[in-house]
Amino acid sequence: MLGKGGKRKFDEHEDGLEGKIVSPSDGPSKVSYTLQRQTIFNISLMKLYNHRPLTEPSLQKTVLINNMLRRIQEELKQEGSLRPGSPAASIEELCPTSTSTEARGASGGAGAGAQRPEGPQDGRADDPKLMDSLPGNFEITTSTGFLTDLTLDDILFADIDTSMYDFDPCTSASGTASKMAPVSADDLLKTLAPYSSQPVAPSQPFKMDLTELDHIMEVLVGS
Amino acid sequence: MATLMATLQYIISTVEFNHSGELLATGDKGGRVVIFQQEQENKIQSHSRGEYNVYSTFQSHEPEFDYLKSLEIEEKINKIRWLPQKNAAQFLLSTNDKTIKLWKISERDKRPEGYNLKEEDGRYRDPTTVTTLRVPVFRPMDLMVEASPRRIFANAHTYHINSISINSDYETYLSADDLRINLWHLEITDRSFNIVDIKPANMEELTEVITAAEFHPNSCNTFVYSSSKGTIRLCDMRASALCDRHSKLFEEPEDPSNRSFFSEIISSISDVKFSHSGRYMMTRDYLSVKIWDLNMENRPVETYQVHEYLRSKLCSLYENDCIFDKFECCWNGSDSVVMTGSYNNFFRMFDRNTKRDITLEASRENNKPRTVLKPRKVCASGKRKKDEISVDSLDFNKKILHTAWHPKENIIAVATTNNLYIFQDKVN
Repeated sequence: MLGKGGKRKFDEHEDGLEGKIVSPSDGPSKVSYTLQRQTIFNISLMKLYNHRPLTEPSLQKTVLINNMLRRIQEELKQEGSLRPGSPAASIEELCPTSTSTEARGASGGAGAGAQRPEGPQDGRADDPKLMDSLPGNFEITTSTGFLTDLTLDDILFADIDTSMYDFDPCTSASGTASKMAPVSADDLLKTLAPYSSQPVAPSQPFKMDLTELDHIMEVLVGS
Repeated sequence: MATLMATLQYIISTVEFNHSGELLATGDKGGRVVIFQQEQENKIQSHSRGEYNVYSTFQSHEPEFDYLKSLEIEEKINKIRWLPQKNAAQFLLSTNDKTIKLWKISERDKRPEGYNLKEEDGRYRDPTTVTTLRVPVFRPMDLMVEASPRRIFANAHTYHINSISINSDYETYLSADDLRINLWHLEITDRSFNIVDIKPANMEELTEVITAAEFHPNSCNTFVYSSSKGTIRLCDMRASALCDRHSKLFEEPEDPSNRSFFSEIISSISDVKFSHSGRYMMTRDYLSVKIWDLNMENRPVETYQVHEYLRSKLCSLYENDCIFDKFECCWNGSDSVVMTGSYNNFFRMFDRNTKRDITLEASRENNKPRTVLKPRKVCASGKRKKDEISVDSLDFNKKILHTAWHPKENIIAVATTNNLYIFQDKVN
């Protein structure tokens, strides 16, 4: 086998994100902790949703990734609730998380939709379906109902541009610069956009133009 | 060490010696089983033990389609387990994600010749031409090895089967998937007993899955199963029909100084194996091998670091999915040495008595017969010495997940992606 010394499997810059976890309360290292957490969160989401296997995905892998997401979500909630008046706390008031079964219903979805500051009409109607479609997708493949308690309203970070989480098929993929390596805002948006429509057969038309559809296909096929 | 290398068409997914060590079975991603047999040489005059040659090849499982879920069921062989030999034929269990099959492998080296009513090619003779009678006799023929499926154990697993284990009573066996463990009788295919069920009523509450299970080698009522949270539960089937409550729970408290986002994932146990003696069990998690004394639940008695230099790379390994690789581990016949695989086609052996360990590489360059394998070393950081390999040059596509040790001799089978290596100790 040639070139044993030539294989570089890891990105150089990621070395900065590796290493021991520092306590989140440290000053300057809090940034790197937050950055690492953000990266891992993105990677985890990508793994769960950017995956169309022909065979059933591994339940063990799904469970572990889901646990990772839940843990990060918990951390964010705790951090958010520690700071009164923080965006996370105010979002909590406006849009209660659907860990409670009531919130998962249409009322919770409508409530979330009503509070959304922007976004075209169609996106709002999709919101309750969005929360349903995430686990719905899962049910097909893993017969589980993962992430019903993880609303995308929870994934709001004060210092991160939130438009990347605006899962609306109608908005064009904004090229908002993301500070999060290695997933660009574009990639995440394009990856998750198909899931924001109702979980029906492909015959239901997406409300987007062909170029965006091409982009999505590229991302899905290329990964 | 003498080496044999066989290249298989598909990715090797399991390797297992039979109870005598004479046969070595491999299963692959294409659903095939290839069995190698050790030559029975005259051991007095030869310096090395017999070499392994292909003995039998057969298609065990075919791909299927689950119409309800609109998904393929892979034909990949997840595990093979041999039954102890009772007569001239050999029996093994092979399983894919959903179905377990019992295969009979038998030899035919004689055939009857001299029929009265049939020609040698099988055509029937005109009875009026028969003037004398003769007794057909068995004449030697070229050895033919036939494999035939004797039992098919299907439709008992909703989730993917990860383990099968034959009980020491040699009548029953268990099969484990992500959430359930079933007990079968080898003769009965239309019924199995569910003995462990960790499926929660609400699947959204699922946070832990079963990763491996094995019967105790001597106690036919005892088995263990490991989980994705790094725990091992020992169950006694005499306690109740459904072994939902363990008799013992083995878990090591987390080392706070090593805590990271990936602590849970790397604690997930990928393999559990009892020692031949039955006194210990070994578990493999992502970075280490642990030996547990069955009498001590709160921590392992021995821990061996397989590739600790990967600890600082966990984020990247999470991204490229390597962190989910399921490495297996095995004991040698006397339980004094344990072996497991790593990346870059490296595999590691740990001597429990001397506490020495060695890293070896299974590669084509080393595949010259009678060459002694050179120990390898990975340089974690800092100045790389001559002959050392730096962590960043490791090839993570070359992983050794499956290894097996001959039950009696110092012969090991190591599977890289497509290649099977058999290494034998030099006998003086």
